[in-house]
Amino acid sequence: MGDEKLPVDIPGIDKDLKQEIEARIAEYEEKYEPLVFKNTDAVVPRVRTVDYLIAAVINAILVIYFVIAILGGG
Amino acid sequence: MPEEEIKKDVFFNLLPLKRTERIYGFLDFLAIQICFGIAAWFFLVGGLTGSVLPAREAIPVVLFGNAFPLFLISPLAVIFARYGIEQFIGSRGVWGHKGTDVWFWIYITSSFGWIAYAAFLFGESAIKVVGFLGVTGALTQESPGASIFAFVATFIGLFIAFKGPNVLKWFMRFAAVFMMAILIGFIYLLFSKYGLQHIMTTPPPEPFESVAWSRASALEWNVGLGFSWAFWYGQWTRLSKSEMHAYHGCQWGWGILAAVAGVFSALTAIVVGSFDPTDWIVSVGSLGVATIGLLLFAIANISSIGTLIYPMSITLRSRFPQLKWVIAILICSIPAFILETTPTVFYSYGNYLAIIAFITGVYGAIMIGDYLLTRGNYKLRELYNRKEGYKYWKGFNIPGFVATVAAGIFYLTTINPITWESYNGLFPKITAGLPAYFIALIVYVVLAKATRIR
Repeated sequence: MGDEKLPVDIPGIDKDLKQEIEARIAEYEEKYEPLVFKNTDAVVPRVRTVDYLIAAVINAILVIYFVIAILGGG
Repeated sequence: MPEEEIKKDVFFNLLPLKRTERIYGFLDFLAIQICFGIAAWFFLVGGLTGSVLPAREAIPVVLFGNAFPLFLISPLAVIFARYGIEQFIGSRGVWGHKGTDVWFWIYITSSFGWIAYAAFLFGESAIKVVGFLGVTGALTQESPGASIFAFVATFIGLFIAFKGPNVLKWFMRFAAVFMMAILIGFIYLLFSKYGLQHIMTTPPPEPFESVAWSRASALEWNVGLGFSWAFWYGQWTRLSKSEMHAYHGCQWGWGILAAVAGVFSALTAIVVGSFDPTDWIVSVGSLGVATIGLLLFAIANISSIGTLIYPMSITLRSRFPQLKWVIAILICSIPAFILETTPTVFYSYGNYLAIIAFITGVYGAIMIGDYLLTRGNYKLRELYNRKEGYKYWKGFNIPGFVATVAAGIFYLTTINPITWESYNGLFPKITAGLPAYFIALIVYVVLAKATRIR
């Protein structure tokens, strides 16, 4: 739990900007961090398995096209 | 800096973005990444591919070679969208703060080349079209003509980047539709002028000594471009309204859709025997085609210069927050101006891509390896504390660097990106970029689990 209280530490940062980062991190930790670690929607809606599947299917088609073109057509 | 000013400045500084500040949806990502993608890199990689492979192989090599590596690294889009953070702030969770600094410098220094290629391809197309229009003199010669046009393109791109993501968003919406329409129109024109049979059966103009070398080299160039996007996610996807928009928008915008430009230039290379698609545009002999072609190259490359300089500058300013925005923009542009005075840069593109393939492939592999282990869940607070956050070993994540070395040894012995020789004889039986990705990923996952550093 100790690491949750780490202050913002970035060399050369303006103090107002540092304050704003601190405020945003605190808000994030309070509202969203538990949701992130539960793998659910947090600041923005989370990617779904179906998104990966759509990409996998389209890429599988491209792999097949590539293999046919190189092994079959070449 | 007053609070209001900081909030107005969120698109130009290192703040984690709130939900209400996310301005990019799926179509915005698609437009931005199409504009980012359609530029010198796709025109040149397509041209190189068409120079060594016939059309029936060049088309799938361009599509697969770009889309598949992108698929392998696409979860990167999700990480930065989740927290609203810039790429190299998010990378600290994987590499440690000091380890990320190493990648930060590699990213910045290796990216000037992209700006130079985009600007110089515009310069090359401009001098040819200007010559076609009957102009004579210095503006029609590679030196200084192409360099002068390249400077102009870089300056306009720099200005677009300076204005930030809101201006970019509107400019890119129109530019993406325009470019896709022109490219599809040009491909149609190619097929109607030369015929499907002729294009598909014409041998490539400059193949390697063996078919295997031609195929493996072309695949390596395209894979290099596909992996090269690994450095460019977070600067954009921090603006995303959802992780899905970021994931799909980047994947299809940089991938299949932008690859249309690569397919187009592969076909023109086969038809006119030159890797530069401007040669075909001039060879058509039509004032209309020449003008539209020049406009295409202008919009394609200038929009891409803007989409390069903006993310480079936001990354630079995230690491050095004391820099003024305009200074960050200038630091990211001036070395590119210098490169643009050297036309030889234009002719080493294949080597540049191979080097980029190794660097970004390995970086992407280890980021994805960590994503598999952590599901991309990091402590936001630790990312913003250089002394105590994500320390690993003195600021470096050792499994990441061991995996980089392992993949590097494999890559460099399989293909030397400068001399294009294979020391271990594996190339062209296999390529280097894709296997190096998997080596880096597997070594990282095994070591990170074994050492329980995560």
